[in-house]
Amino acid sequence: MLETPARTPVVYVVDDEPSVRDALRLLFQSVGMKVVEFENASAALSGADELDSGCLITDLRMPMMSGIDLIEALRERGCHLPAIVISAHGDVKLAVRALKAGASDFVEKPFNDQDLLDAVNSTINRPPVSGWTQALSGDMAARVAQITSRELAVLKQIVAGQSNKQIARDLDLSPRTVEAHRARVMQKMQAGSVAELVSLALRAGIVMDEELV
Amino acid sequence: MSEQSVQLGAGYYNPSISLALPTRLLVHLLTAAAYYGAGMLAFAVFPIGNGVAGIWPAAGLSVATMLLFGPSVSLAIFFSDFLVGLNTGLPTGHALLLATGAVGEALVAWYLLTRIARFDPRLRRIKDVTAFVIAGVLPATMLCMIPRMLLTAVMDGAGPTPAPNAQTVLVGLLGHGLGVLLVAPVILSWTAERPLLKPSAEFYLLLLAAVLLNAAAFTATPSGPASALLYAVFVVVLWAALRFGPRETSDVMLLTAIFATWAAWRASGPFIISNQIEALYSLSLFLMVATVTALLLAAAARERSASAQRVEESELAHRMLIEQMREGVITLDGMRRLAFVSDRFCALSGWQRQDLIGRPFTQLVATADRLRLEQALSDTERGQDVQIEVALERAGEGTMLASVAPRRLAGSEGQPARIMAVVADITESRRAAELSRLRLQQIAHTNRVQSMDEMAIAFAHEISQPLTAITSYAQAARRFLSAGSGAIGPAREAIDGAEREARRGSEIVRRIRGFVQDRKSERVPQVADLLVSEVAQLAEPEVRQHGVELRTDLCANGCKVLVDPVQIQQVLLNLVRNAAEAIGEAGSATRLITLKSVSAPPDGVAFAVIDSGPGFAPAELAKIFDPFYTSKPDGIGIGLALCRSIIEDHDGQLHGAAEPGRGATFTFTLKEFRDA
Repeated sequence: MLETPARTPVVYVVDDEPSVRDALRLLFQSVGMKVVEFENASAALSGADELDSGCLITDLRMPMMSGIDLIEALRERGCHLPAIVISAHGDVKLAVRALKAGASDFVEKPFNDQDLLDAVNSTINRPPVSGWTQALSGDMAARVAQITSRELAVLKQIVAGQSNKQIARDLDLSPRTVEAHRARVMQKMQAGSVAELVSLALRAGIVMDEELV
Repeated sequence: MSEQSVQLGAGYYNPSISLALPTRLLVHLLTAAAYYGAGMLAFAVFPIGNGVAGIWPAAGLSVATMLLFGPSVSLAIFFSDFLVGLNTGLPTGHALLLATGAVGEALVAWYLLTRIARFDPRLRRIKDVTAFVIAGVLPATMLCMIPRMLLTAVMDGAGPTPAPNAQTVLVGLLGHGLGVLLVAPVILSWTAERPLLKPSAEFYLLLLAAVLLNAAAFTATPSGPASALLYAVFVVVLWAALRFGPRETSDVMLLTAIFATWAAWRASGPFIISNQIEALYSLSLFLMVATVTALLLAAAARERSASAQRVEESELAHRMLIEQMREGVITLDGMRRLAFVSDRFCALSGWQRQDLIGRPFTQLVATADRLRLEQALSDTERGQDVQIEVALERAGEGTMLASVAPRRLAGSEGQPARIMAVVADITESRRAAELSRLRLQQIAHTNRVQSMDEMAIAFAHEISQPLTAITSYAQAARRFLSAGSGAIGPAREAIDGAEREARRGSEIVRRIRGFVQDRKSERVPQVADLLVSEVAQLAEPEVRQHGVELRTDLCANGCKVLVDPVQIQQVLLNLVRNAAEAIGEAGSATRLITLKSVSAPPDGVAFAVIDSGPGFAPAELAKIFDPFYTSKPDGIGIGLALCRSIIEDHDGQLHGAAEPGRGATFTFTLKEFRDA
């Protein structure tokens, strides 16, 4: 399967949880990708020079040095390896910060294998990170155009990591209404998850960096 | 200066003779008159020559009045003695010399008795009688004899009386001593003792017997059988000494002396041997020995009855004390049968005293506790201090939980030891303790549930790790399997991984459930290191969320402790969570918590939670264990107070130590559990 190892994309997995690393290794191996594991951020950082083309998958929450810190440190050293952050359900605030720090995508645990593989593939195939916020396609503009002002307010709150309850209180709506708005926003933006919604919102410029926590 | 109390030496029994000036003058006059009378009588009855009389009661008078009224009576004594000297034909110079001697005699006795011997004139103690004889009679009479010996040497038979010789001086000396010994106690005891207002019939009988027996004894012919009646006088003396006291005894002795002297004067009675001097000699010796013996006897009898009274009073006091006690008191004989039971014990046990006395104590105790009680009593007999708790059968209705503290009573050698035991009803206090433990249990449970509530996110994260791994393993396995038969190996690997993670997930769930479950508190032996490592696993997810590293330092080497494991883990978890929160809030550079278990010789296991957080000031340390004291905005401040209660319930003590900026350390030590 791996006939030209030098050109095979490598997935660098950084997670302090051995079982998650191990499971990811098997998952990527099952589709013929090579995996290099690091048990923490500083190990990945010290091996930064050898990070070749491919993709970095890093956990957000790790002791000593977080995934965000890792991405920032890599960028500082001039390493522009595309990075996907993975994190537990509900860590929207952190995910947004990661995207802001330069992560290309954000996948929630537990992963849907296809989502993760798609994210990895699209990240690997995508041109370097610099211009992605500007690459607002006509399709994306169409999606954003459908959003009402009330829905936009809800969307901003969701991206800011607020829960339904908090949004309802802030906007003086019933939680049920917020839920309805949320569902419509997801549908109109064609987002499969909150993480995707956050990515899309950032990319569409709906949410400015300064608005993020 | 109308009134002046008589100053006597420190420690001297003060008969509190306080007299107005006219009375004092009267006393001095009376003393002078009595002294003069006694002196003239002595010379009239037994003149020996050279200013010496055969017996000299005036000496007793001077010593007694000096002791009662102080040295101011010296003047009266001096003049009286001087007058007696002149009136019995002595030259003025001689009379002056003898009068000086008489005053000196009384002054020496007064000084020695009051200032040195601390003498009690009631003569109730043997030491007072001894002091009276040694310090009051002997030196004084010796001193008084010195001027007489001088005169004897120079006078050479001049004067109206026969020529003196050594025996004359000796008789004079005995007469003087006898005077003090016989007269002074009568005066002193009558003054010092409470006045005898209504003498009993026995007192009159005593006097009558003394008069009759003395009269019979001293009128008998010296060789006749009736002279043996002299010994019968001793019966009266014994009677006075044993039934009455020093006062009556000295009365009887004086009476006897009067009869004896009268008889000697009449030249009759048992002491008439050859001449008057010899008669006086033996008479004086007899009276002296008899008086000293009688006074000693009376003092001994009085001392004995006083000590018997003291014993009785102290027994009464002890008895009152015992009956006042909240605890019951019992004593057991050598066969461990109940010999004494206090009223309180009867009330506590519900038994009647007659049902208890003579019963083996162990019979009162529930069968299950009997062996332990026997063992404890055996330990007590060997001299050990023990205390045990047993179920005591109450009369008719149920049992009471009793704390029994037996002590061996000092007994004679070789005899089986008698035991006294204090028995307390601890049923109520035990029930209260149970109740407070139950309450502690409830609060502890509430605290655990609350902790879990707060830790839920961390746990959700924790549980999501194996779930994530399982999902990915399963997905990988499916892909391997669908990729073709060549991938069976990796597929199996993925399935193995999934299984492993599923087990891990359920282990996490079990741990959480075990921690939160409301269950009966139970003490079980636990390996200290395992307790600590399990706490580390429980705390780790949340600690990590604070960006803090949690390390364990397990050095208890398999030592066990007898604890409620959940409660001890709760304490450690609370401490770790507090530490993590403190570090998280302070944003310390070093972010480390160490959970430590270490054996603490000789018989302890120490637990410690050491953090690198901000620490706290000593002033705060004093308050942190107070309930409702909290430094957290959303805390209720029950955590540390609860921790301390739990540790105290485990007979340990929770200590906190901290330095601002250098972290805090919480430690507690529990007793090591050793398998029997």
